Amino acid sequence: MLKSCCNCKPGCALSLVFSLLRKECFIESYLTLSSSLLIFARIRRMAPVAQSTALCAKDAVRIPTAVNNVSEYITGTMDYLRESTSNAMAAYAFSNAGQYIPACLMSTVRVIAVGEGIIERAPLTMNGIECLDRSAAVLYKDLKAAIGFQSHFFDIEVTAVAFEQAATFTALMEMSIEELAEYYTTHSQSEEFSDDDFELMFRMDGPRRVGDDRQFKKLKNVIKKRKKEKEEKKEAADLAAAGIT
Amino acid sequence: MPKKKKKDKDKQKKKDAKAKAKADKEAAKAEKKKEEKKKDKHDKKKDKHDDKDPKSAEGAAAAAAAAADSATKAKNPIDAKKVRKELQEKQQQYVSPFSDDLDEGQFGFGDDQAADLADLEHMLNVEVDEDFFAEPRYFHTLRRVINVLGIQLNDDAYDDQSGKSLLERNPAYQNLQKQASVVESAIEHMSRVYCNALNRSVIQVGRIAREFDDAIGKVEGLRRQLRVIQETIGARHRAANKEKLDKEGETSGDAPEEGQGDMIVASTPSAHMSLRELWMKKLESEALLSLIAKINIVREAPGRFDNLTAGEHKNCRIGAATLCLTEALNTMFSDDVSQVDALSQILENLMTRKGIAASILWETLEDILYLRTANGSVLDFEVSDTSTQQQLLQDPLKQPIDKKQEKRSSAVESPLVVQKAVHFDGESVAEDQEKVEQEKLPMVARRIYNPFHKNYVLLCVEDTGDRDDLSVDSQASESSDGSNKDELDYQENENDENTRRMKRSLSAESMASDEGGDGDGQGRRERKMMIPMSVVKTEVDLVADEMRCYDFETTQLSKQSVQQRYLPRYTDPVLSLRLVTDCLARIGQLPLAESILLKNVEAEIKSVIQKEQARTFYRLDRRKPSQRMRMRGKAADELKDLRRHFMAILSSFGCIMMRLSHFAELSRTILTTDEELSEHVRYPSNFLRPVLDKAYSCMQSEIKDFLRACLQEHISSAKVAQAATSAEPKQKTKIFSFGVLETDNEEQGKKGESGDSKQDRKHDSKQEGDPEVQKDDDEDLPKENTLARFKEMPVSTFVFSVLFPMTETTPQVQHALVFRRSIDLFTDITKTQQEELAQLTEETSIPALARRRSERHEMAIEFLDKAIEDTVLPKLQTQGVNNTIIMTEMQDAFEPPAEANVYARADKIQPLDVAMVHACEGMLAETEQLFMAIHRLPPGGSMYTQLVQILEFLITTFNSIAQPKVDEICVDTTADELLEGYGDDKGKLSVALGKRDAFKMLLNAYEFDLDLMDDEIGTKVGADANGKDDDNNSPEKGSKPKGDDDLGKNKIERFGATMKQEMELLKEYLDFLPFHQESLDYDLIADYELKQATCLAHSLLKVASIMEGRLKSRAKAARGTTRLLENTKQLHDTIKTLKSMGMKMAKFCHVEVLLQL
Repeated sequence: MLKSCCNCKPGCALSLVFSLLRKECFIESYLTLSSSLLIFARIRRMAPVAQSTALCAKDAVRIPTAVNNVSEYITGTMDYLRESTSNAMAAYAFSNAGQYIPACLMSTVRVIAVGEGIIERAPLTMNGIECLDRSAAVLYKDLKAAIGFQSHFFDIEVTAVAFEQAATFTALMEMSIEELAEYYTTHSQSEEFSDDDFELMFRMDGPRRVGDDRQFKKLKNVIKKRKKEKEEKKEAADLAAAGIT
Repeated sequence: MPKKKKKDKDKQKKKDAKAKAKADKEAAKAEKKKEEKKKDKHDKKKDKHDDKDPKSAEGAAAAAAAAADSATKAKNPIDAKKVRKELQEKQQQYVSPFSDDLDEGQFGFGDDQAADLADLEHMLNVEVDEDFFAEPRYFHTLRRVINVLGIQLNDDAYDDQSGKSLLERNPAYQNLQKQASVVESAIEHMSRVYCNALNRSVIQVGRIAREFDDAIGKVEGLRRQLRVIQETIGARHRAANKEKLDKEGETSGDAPEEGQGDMIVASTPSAHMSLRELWMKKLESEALLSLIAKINIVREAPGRFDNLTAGEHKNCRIGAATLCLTEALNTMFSDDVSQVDALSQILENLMTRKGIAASILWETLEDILYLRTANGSVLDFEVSDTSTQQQLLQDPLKQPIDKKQEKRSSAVESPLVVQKAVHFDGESVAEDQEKVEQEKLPMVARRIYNPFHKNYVLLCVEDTGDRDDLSVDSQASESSDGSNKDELDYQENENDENTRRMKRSLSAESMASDEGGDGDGQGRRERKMMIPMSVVKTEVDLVADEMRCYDFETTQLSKQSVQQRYLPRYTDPVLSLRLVTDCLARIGQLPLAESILLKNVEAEIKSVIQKEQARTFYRLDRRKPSQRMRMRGKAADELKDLRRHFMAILSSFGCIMMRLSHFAELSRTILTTDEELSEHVRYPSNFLRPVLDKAYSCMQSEIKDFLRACLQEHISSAKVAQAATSAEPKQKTKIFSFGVLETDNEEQGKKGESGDSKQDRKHDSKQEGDPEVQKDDDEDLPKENTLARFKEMPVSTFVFSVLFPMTETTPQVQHALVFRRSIDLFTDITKTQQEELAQLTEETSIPALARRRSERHEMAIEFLDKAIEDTVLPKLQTQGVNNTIIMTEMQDAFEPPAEANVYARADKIQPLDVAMVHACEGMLAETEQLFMAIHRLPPGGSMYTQLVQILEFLITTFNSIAQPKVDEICVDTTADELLEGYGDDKGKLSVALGKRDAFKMLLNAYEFDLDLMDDEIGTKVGADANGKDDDNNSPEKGSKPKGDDDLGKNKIERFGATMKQEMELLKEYLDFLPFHQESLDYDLIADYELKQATCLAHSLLKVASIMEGRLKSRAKAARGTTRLLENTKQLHDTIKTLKSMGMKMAKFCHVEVLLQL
């Protein structure tokens, strides 16, 4: 029964549970329900990172359980798939994970910056930021180990860049407001992160800063002005060059 | 005016100075030249006429002095008349060297003539450009003359008002130039159009030049003789006269003056008389000597003949012997010798030798025609492992060449085959036959195209032993590709590097054959299989050419023939055939060839088959048990031995036909040109046609017998079963367990049980790997009698009781497909060959005969086609459809197969080697034979179309069953919804994933041709979305270079941009805010389903890849271009559907994994 349930979608499992309940097969319906709940529990492994208490830990740096789950999932599923399909196909299934996992990590950072998740209950600590950083390293290492056997499908350069971007974004949380302002001033042109992301960071209360939304607006205006001036200068130079010719 | 005058004066002065300088120069040149010429002439005269009258010498000296004087005086042109006069005076004293009547003291030329000549010489020296005054052998073309004249004219040329040069205004010069261009164009036209005629003329001119040289030699000889005689006579008479004069002097008291005697001799008429007499005497003596020489030739001929054919050296040089014999016979029947009665005994001896020569020649001819000799020879290398062999095959130029070969293989570029040879050559196979001989590759790798002669498809005398990897099957392709199984494909073999090298390698014979234009490296149809007529018409040097193609390397001599003589062995079939044909023509036996060959052709062809059978048996028998076990495991290799045997037979037949055709060509050419021989033949241009036809029909009937035996399932399976049950299980693996060698078993039975136990022990220890015992066991094999045992065995019996049981296969009607292409090619090539022969020899009988033959006999190819159409195709269709449906309807049809542990496999395992779901495996297996058939049937025929339709139906059926399974996994899942998309996002994610390098790599891993599937990469769904997308979002083409599109220049930027596109579509699912997550409705699949999905994706892609590969033309693929078979577009589209299903499943798995992270 369990096997048949596993083959179905969660929706199907629930319908099966209802049909079993209707037939008064209580034990079987309980087992089916529990297995289908397990399926529900397994989905979206990266999302619960934002709920991890490791982000608020003051005593030590701990890796969130969700991250360990993801690592386990990557290695376990890879081996599982390779049993029945070609190495190429299994590697292809995980080929985008190198860019997708950093995106998930950044999404987690955004959740924390907004103040949702575990942050609602306790403030973010430096250990918490460090734990996110280490999570990225752990995931990178595990992913590389899992897909490395088919090196064609694992682009080490692209993956490294993506993880580095995620780590930088995480590091923005531990900066003081001055450091963040300086970083924004220097990196605003690089399109590494969007203005929305920077605004989120300026607004966020971190272990070393208190959120200041106005400073971001000021800086933005300054940068805009500078940009405008530059453009005007350039236009003038162009016009002057055109006049001469 | 004064200035003008001054200028004119200056000009005149300058002109004079120039003219003077020019005259001086010319005079100096002329002087030099004359001096040299006179010197030469003087030397020559001195050499030639030292012994002549001293007057002539004086005259010559005087003439030389006069010439020198005249040359010095000729410096001044005014003195020319004086010089001429002096010259005339002095030349009166000059005695021409060309004068015949020296004794009479007459001059060679008259006074006037001498004067004219002197004038001419002077004019040539002074007036005419020295460029013309050269040796006559330095021929100057008209163009050269024009140029010289032009230069001369240009010296004085000046531009007038019209601006035209003197040359341009000179009509004579212009006419000359026009004439030159007309002549040149005419010559060019002639050389192009009448190339052959000119070549022929050159040959004729060469012959004439040779004759002229001979004539010159004869004249020189005669003159020398005359001189000697003259000297002798002069000396005698001088002595006689001297004596006479002495006597007279004694009587008169005066001493004779010197030179007086000679004068007397020269002037006495008696000297002439004695000269004539002596001349006659000399002629008589010469005639006598010539007669003695002739008698000597005739007398020595039998001895020389015997020495050449049956000497201690064991080399029967029949060419040289025939030459000697014919010379003797011609001498014998010449007018002068034929009248000598005393030579009757010698004549008898000669006639006996002629009979012997004829017998040797007939046997040799049959040896050549039926492949007992002239097969080249094969190199032997001790190669330890397969990899080395492969390497050697791949790079034959690096192979070691043994010293013996190096000495004589200047014509051979490279050895090509690495193998050991084992002979089954007639009854007298020596005991040490097992010992591998050192032989060489075919020495003459002819440019005369022989499609049957492959470097690894051997003829009749060699065997590859156990080295199957070097056999025709070594080119076997992937086991998964059924269409690639027929390694006997000639066309494929043509592409083989070794074969190409072999064709490139030259010999003297092949060099000659270049004239036929067959070495141009073009397609098979354009290459000539017959010997070019220019080669046929050239003379054969019976002594030298025989030595060129004589096989001195073969230590194992062929059977002893006529009166204990060894038959000659050759390496080159064409040259040896030319030799034998020429010999037969010389002894007048050529017209009998038709009747003699007609008698034996059937028996000989059967004997060829029997030899092949013996060799196949020997090869199979020598195979070790471990090898047999290995072979048993491979389905693809099941028919390998069968095919190999069949290919060997076809190869032998092809070579026989080729040699017979060559012989016919040579014979017809000789018979048409030789009037004496042509009298004995009614139609020389149709000579040997009955032999060719009979041989061909015999071959066809033998091939049919073989095919019948392979295809008859009911009878043969019963016989095979009988053969299998009659023998004990223990004996099945032994060599004499199939009733083939009953006599040997009887003998062994007599020896008693001890012998058996010994054999068993040996067998056991052999299995254990004891090398010594193994060696003994090999030596014990009674190979010398193997051929004898197969002598009376018909083809069908061999197939039933030996071939199938030993290869552990059963006769099946489907085997018809395996043999079809080979037979088709054989028939096609033979037909082309016969047409070529008919064209070359102007044969008239071939169309009528072919018609009659086809009416009377059913060809093997027709028999096979009938079997395929009536039995094979219906059977395959029913079997294929039924089994596919059964396989797809099984409960676990689409379940992932139970595989071994993942760690047991290598990391880099190829996707095409991984197992598929049962339904796909079954479908692939069922369509394998159908795909194989598609390559073997003539494209466009009814059978072909029917077959394509069957396949299309099968694949469509499979698609209709697989589609619901795919839907079952995908439908109602988040991943599928994302891939499909809604509204503006429809199919966008699929397209974005298709752009990923990873996806292209996946398709590459499954060996899809990305160039051919640009539209497919985005899948059908993605393609629909393309129409709606703007230009920036258009899908990247598979073959498009990276960085050219909007996705960025470098790799990271490109990846980032692609990711951005994907993130936009997955944005919803990347928002980890708790309230958002709760609002999302995820429909993800369980792990087991994910496993099923990936397995299905893999299976569908693998099936599609293999089927696409099977649809491609193999010949084209080998040349680097891929092309689908004819009329298979719809079938290809059906396979595309299968492929798109696989790609969709792969993308689905990918998205599903991302969502589960």
